Amino acid sequence: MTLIKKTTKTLVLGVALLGLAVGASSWTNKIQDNTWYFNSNNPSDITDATKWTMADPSLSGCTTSQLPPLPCQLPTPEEVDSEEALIEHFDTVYDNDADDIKAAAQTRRNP
Amino acid sequence: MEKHLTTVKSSIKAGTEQVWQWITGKARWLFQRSHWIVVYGYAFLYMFTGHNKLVNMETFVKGNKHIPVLGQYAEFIGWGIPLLEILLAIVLVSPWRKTQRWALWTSTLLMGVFTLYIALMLLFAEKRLCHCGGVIEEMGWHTHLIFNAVWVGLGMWAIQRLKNYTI
Repeated sequence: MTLIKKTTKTLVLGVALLGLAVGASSWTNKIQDNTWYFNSNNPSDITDATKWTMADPSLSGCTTSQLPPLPCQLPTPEEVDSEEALIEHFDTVYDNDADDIKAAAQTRRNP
Repeated sequence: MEKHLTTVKSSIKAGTEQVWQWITGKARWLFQRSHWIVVYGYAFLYMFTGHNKLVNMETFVKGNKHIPVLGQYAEFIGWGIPLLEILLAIVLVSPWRKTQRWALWTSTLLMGVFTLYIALMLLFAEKRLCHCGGVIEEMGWHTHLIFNAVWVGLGMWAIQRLKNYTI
């Protein structure tokens, strides 16, 4: 009886801990403090940080589909709050790969 | 009056001793079980990062493709690492001691591999890529190296403590 009680206790504790970890992971995924907007109609500008702005240019036609060739909104961590930080972010996180940046964007659009 | 004062003094002394005994008793109890904090810490860490990688799988796999030498196995690493991390997290919290011990060994070894990867990146790579998952990704490279090295040390210590643990 004691063994069953102990095993159940361990299992409950373990499941609670793993649930907490999944919750914490989902929560950190949601916290993206800054949003950058791509403000160009040229796909070759995607890796150019000067073509991105933190102010929403309110471009139309942004969808969640993977197909359109241009990114619209790109979520970034809080510290990516300047052009220099965005250059660094593109370099370290996406290795300046336009496809990776487009894939990470929340929405995309046609030129 | 003096007798009363002596009684009060001895009561305070006895009370302090009792409190001290309680504190040391609890500290001993906690220390004897402190390796479980490491085991559950590993479980939390691996479930957290494993889940994070699975949720951001596309970015994780694409990022892996840029890793020198290992890039050709990007897809395999992309699925293998998070699934292994989640499996280890589940086994670490299981109630079977032998399986737990095996999982702790593997977890420490895996953390050692991650530590080696970071150290090699710091030493040789021009472009450093990290897709480690969530908050951990936002640590600097040096902080990340220290963080991992500490976990490797804790893992080894916990393995040592678990060796003769029968409860």
